[in-house]
Amino acid sequence: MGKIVLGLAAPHNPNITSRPESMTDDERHQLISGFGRLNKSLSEASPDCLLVLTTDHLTNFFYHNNPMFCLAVSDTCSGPAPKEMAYLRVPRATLKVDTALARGLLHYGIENEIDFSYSEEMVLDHAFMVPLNFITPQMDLPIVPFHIGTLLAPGPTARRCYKLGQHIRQFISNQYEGKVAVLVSGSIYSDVGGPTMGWVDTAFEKDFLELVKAGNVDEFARRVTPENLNKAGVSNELLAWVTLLGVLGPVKASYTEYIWSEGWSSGAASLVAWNP
Amino acid sequence: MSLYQVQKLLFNVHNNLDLRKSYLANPEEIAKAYDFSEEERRALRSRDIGSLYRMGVNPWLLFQFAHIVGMDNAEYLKQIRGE
Repeated sequence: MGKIVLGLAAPHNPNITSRPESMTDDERHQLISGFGRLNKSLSEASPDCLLVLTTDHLTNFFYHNNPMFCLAVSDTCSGPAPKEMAYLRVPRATLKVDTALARGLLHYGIENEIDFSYSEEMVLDHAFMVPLNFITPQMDLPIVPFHIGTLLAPGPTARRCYKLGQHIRQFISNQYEGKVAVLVSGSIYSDVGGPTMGWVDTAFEKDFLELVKAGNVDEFARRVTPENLNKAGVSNELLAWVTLLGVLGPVKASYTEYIWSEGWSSGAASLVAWNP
Repeated sequence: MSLYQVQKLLFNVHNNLDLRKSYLANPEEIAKAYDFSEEERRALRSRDIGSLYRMGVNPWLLFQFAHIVGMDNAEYLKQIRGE
């Protein structure tokens, strides 16, 4: 049956593409080579599709209609969002969606008391397009966009995200045919619009990265408490990381890199690869 | 409190580029379509980002709005920190 062949983590800080000059030459070099490493891992793993776990940035969802989790189930998805085209400097692209995975997971959920929201018209904003632009620059790998509602409070708990990740793993292992890579897009600490914007808690981030290196995923999930989420800034992207770790299980990271540029408003780049 | 109405205006200005243009040209006119309290109307009119933050507007959205109306990061931070 299906196999999870690769895990990846990458940032989506829009400054990476919109203002590359915000980085020093060294930072830019380090970041580009990190993304290059993830791109190479993806080519080597040669998956049939890439499941992308991240939060919509008030593009598709808002308080008028705000799902905790949403699967894109259309044949294709396009991005960036119209509101981003003037500055993001990522070419507009239409990506194929692996509907066997997207719809299969939706139905697996229905059978297992998980009511995923689903969309025939999810626009891919920078949270998807910035990392995809580097990791799969040809934009030719089928994806499954999976929104986790972390930006608008209240959002899901870490426990819920972790279990959901384990369910995704169950589905892929037992009911899907093919090789799957899974990407989490987001920063461990991100306070865009919050009182610490312009700064990141590097020690806090590196503690979580150490757990990732050790493959200590249970401990990672346990530490994503409401208190730590509060400490990690307004975006709560750690919840998407926990979901990914639920999918991967106790696997040590095969590659980690950490870059923080003071020219960015918030959101350091943690790049990780796992080869389960 | 009509916090949702405030956030809805900010969301619309953030996503709808035509509305964004109209809002920047004539914010009072656009604001008429929303049901604000007097305090919310005042805070929006005077671009009192600090008050909007303390009312509970989502910080990520508020920052996008501040950027749209031309406020720089330093002034934004000063206002939300109440400095």
